[in-house]
Amino acid sequence: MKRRVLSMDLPTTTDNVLVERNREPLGISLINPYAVGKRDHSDIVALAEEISKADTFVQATTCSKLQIIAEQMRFLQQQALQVLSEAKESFELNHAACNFKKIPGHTYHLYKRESGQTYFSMLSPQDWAQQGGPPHKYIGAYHLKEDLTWITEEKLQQSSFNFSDIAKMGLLPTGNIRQQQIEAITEKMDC
Amino acid sequence: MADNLPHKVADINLAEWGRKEITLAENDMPGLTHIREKYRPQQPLKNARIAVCFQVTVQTAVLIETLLDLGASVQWASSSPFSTQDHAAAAMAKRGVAVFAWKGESDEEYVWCIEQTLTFPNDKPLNLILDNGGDLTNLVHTKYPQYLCSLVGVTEGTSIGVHSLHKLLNEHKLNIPAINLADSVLNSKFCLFYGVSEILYQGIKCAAAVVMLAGKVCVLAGYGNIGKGCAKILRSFGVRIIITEIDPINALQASMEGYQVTTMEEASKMGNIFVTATGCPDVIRGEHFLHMRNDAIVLNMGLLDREVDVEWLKRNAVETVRVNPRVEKFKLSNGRHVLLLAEGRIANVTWAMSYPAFAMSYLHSLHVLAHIELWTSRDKYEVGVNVLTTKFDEEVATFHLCHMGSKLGKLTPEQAKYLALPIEGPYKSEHYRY
Repeated sequence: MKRRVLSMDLPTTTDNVLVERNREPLGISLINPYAVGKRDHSDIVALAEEISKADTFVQATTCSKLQIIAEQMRFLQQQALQVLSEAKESFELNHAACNFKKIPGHTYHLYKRESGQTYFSMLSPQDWAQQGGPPHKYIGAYHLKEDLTWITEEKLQQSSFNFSDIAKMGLLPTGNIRQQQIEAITEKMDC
Repeated sequence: MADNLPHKVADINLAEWGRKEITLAENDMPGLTHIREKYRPQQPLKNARIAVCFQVTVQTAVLIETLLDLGASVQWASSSPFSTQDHAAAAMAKRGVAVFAWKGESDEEYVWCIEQTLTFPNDKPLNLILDNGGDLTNLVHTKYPQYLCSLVGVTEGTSIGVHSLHKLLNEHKLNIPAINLADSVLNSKFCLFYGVSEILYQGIKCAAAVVMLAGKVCVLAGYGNIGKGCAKILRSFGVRIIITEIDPINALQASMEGYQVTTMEEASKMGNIFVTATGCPDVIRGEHFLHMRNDAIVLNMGLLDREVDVEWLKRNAVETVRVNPRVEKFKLSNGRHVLLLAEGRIANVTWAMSYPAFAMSYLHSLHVLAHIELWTSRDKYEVGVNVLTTKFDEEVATFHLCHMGSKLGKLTPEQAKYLALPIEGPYKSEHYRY
């Protein structure tokens, strides 16, 4: 993509530092325009420095503002990629071989047979401990969410959103009826 | 195996639904309820640790609760994972029974579930087996022989399981007394005759709900106990029945009932519906499929998954369409279609959900009585395949008669003396055919 050139990237010169002259201000011809426009050279340098400083500030502020937008864009892009990759993963998991009806809210275990076929099982590798381990290669534990998408058991533990903690923090409104509702939800979430 | 899992089921939340259906089933299983009332005070199965490998259904749940009621500890795995009722398993798990079953176990998981039933809490091994198909008995004999010494015996309710027991016996591998219930009068003349045949109607309607049965021609391969029951049911719907048989006695029975008896070659050209009930492989083959009329319905009500040559259909079909999860439609080279039910597998297992509880009650009651017998008179039974005496069949039959309001006559002492029979039975010799 062609980069747009920003004016603040241009070198600053002293040409535009001072206000343009008008030798006949408001129609009156000045007697000695030179004397009126006479100035100390160091003033110009100081002014130019001020301008340069201001330019740097603008540049920095603009950059940081753009930075935030860029970061947001990057974040959104990442999120979009994550959504797509989760969708792909869920799609693949939905199509793994499975003999039983999968129920949302349950965790199932994915294995791979020697033939390459992946399949879901109700049994975890721990369940196979007495037999000396599962008969096929273990891939991982997946939790079927209420929206019928999958989340790894690991991520589920990390992102576990506990209603009872929030209730304890007092972030939810109180009162008898509300409290009962929260308790009902909390009970459901915990079991 | 110190840390036993309490149970493993698909969804414990189905428990309430399961409990409702178990109660319904219980009310139509009078054999089991009578046994509970009669034997509960004695607790005859106290200290018995029974590993059960049986279809996990509400009907079997009533059996399990009867065993518990008589003092036994029970651990339960399924004998046919695709017929498992998850709600029945949930209800039993909820009441604390160690049940390991869910609909759709893989082959490895199936064995895993059976293995969970072998050791009871505190590392105590099983001492009785209630088997249905022979896998649990076989597993203990081949992979866990260390448990054989504590085993008192096994009861087996299927022909395939009994066949497996005889095989172990002939190879001198069988190490425990076994009781064959598959050949008991109540199983063959009641469970198979009345129970299995009631599922037939549901099977046919599943294939084509709009098909009218009256006026159709049904070819029944095999006129054994299941075949006789199926013929009786179909006749009541106005179906014309053709029987195929290889045994002259069964063929004669069919002829005397007024059914046409002929070969499958001939019958295959006439039938609309084909039902196998033979226990024999490849009864309906490629040449028969090619003779069939369009949209012929084929289902297996027998004992063997291979009674219909499904492989031929798969290899030779021009086109295959799955009509619903249990029905496949094959287009043949001649342009005609065949509707195959449950992939040619035994339909009475596929439709176990609706297997009549009353018919199941006969076999389950015999299982319980056989376990009481093995546990309390263990020295009576030798290593080998035993059968129960007629006395047990008569006892179970009496329980069911009471439930139906039937009244039974009683021999006078003089009559009993004349017939040389005990007044309380048994009334028939072991060879009587009923």
